[in-house]
Amino acid sequence: MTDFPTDPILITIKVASFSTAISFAFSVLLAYVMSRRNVLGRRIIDSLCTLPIVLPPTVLGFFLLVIVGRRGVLGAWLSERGINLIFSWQGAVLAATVVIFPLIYKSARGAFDGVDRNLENAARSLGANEMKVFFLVSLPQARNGIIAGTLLAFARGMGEFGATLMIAGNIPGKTQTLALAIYDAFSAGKDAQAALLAAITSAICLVILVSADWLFSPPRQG
Amino acid sequence: MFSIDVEKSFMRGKEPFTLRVAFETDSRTLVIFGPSGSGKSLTLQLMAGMIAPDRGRIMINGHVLFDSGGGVNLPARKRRIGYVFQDYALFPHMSVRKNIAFGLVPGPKTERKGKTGDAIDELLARFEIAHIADSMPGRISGGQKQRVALARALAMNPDVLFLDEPLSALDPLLRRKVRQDLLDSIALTGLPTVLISHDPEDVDAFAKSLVILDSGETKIVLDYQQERTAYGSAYEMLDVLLESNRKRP
Repeated sequence: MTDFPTDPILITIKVASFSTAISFAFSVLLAYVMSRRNVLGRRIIDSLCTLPIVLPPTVLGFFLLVIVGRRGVLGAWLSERGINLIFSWQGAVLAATVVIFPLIYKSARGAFDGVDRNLENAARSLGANEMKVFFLVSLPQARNGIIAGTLLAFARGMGEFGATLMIAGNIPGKTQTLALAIYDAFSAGKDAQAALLAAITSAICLVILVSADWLFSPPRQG
Repeated sequence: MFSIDVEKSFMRGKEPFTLRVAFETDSRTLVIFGPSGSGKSLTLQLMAGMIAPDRGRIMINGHVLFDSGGGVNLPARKRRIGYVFQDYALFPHMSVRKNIAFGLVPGPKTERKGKTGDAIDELLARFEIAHIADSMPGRISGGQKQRVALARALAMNPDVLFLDEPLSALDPLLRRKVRQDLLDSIALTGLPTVLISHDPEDVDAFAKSLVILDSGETKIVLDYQQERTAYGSAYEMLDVLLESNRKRP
């Protein structure tokens, strides 16, 4: 028999939402800085930011364990303060954040590179400080590319498996997302349950992509 | 009025290019003329603070805007230069009204609260763009864009007006009319103006002083209108000047 997977759905959406929000803030800022300033070691930073796309998620999970694991560089410091990311939903957020970071970064970087510098200069000549230039000109101009990247990142975050499994484990009701629940159900021979989970996951992703297309696709500006 | 002596080196593709611009004039209307690629736009951007020169000094209207010796480099937002870009650089995501309101500095007459809307309405009426106030820049004509760009630059109450090829994006029939409108606007505001152009007709219409820029070097004609009388046309005069400029060692 099949159970309706309320917990995995909620956990998946929670993890995908938090990780997308965190990734968004960091990658958009970094993309803007990288696109506008001659940062030292820019190529290396660019490559590092792309790395999570090509590395197997388990490798990322391994690196994260080295850093935030109980005996990790940062993990020991955190656990002294009562913060433990391993086997927690926050750990799953961390894993997903790292995995989806390049998706927003890459598209934001491209979008900022494509913004007409004269628009920013015009804003400056009209008395705008750098904060105003960013929020009133650069960000709205790069909007479409950033939104596209963010939606892709959210969808990818929903399906995160490898890195999440290594950091957060597969604890039903706590860290078990849809992707992990499918694997669990299938391993346990519950084919019907796995099929239901797969159908739900696909449906959610499809709804996100279709509504995104509907919301944003005729761009308001030509 | 304008006193510039700057140098800027950069890579143009794979070729190193050094722009040296040096001139000084008391004229209130200055035209910078030169062939494409001579560094006209770059000169204007250096003066406006959008690009920093490698070394030198920029003074406009008695204010030092840049001085590498004294460590002065006023950011673009503090130079109070009303800049009209060649492609107008209107913010595509803002209506005409919002574009004009972007840098609005209420003048003495409009200082009281709630009067900023009046200042915009005044500009919209003056430039005959009130009927397109709520349109987006992508939906208005070239001549209208130019007027919006000028209105936006004037809304911030600038000390100086910079016009980068203000007429080159317009079709030739419109150009004459807009040129006259622009002359009227400059006269009306009384602002010191720097205009760059590669069109001899613009030089004739606007120049009090003329700076000729060629291969990154400058030559200045302090009193254009007077020297112009020695030639049959602006074309002829500019030909001769460009030729003599090239022969200099």
